[in-house]
Amino acid sequence: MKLLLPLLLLATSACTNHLYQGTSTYQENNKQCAAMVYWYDMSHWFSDGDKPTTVVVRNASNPRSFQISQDNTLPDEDKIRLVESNSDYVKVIGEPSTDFTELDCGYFSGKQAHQNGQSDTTEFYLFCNKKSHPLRPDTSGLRAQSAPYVFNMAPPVSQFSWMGELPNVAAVPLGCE
Amino acid sequence: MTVSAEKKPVILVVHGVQLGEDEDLKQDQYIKELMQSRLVGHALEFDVELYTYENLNDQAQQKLKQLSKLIIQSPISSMLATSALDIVADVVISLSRNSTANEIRSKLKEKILDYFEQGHPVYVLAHSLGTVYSFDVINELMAEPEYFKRDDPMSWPVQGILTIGSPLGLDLFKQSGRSKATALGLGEFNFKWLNYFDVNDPVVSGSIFGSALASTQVAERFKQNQADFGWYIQDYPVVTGKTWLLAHTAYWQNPMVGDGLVSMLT
Repeated sequence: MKLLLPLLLLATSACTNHLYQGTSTYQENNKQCAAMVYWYDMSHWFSDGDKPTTVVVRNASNPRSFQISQDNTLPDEDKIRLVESNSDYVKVIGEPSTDFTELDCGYFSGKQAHQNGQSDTTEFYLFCNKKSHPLRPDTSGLRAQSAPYVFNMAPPVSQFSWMGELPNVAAVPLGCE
Repeated sequence: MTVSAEKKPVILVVHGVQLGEDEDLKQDQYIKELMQSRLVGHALEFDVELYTYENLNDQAQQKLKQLSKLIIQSPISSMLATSALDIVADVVISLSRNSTANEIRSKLKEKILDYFEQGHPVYVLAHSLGTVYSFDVINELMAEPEYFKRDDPMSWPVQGILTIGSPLGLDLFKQSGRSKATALGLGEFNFKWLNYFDVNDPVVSGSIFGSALASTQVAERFKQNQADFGWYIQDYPVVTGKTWLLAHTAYWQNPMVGDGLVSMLT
């Protein structure tokens, strides 16, 4: 009986916690640069709309994280809204006015496919541009644009988050050439 | 006085409910490790300092502890009773406006202004009852005319606050006079408050029996829908995978908290 609970926890964690990781390229100063995206612990917010998780978009010089959650107000039900977790961004596409209390920046498509672990791409629509802040120069690289950034996704990787294992994000080479 | 982009940012960690003494606290180390694990090779220079006040609390509790030891004869019962007393007394002290609470707030303010005078941008990371002291001090500074000019972030002694396991959403804190955040006036920049919590954390839910939080609005209860508010407040429910009091102390290793902190500094 003493062993049963840890084994059940192990099995549950193995089934529900996954790392999703993908890469994309973008143009900056006439160079082609690489960016990556990753997120994990999908189970919580897909099964229950009020528990969002974090998605991180990285390039060589800047890791940026967003909160992602299901949003049924978007025209296509298969959409996930991103919320920038840093208010230094302004909306520039679709919604010209800046909301001073909420900042929704873009969205991902392909919710259902990711939920089922079947999607090999994800589209990242970025609606925000960074404000010029005296302490934090913009090094994000990814600019607001109408066309989405398309990330090619690796197959989801199971991991045991209760053991404290973190995604091996350092393995992806990032930079410009 | 202004902060300088040339100076290293400082993450000032303000701890919360604690057992033990100042020397036992290692939250600054936890945050350094968490930040490094989330930056994975990105160059970002920063310092982390822990603001400690547990010895002040303990001094204020000394008479109560001695009394409890006299009443409870068994060594184990005595240990449990004093541990519980540590936590309960921390809560009572933070709620009150007594001399110990005032001293904790005053020294925290002093620490923040020391960094400000040296030009360091300060980001506060506060846990549990430390969020109450931090909220009080930041609002106090916002009420002073020389600081927090909304269109000049260089005049801000604190650039943003990240809270973990905060009880500030509980009614008892609202009833103690912390019902509003100080408006910064009209302008472009927003003061950031990112709040991370586990729905099973009893300090956040206020349920000593560990019932899950019913609403996921904690810090967002302080939002004001007016243009001169000047705060960006966002709640982030996290899943620590722990229950009851273990959930309250599991934030220090949580990757979402690390990502939020990185996001705030970059």
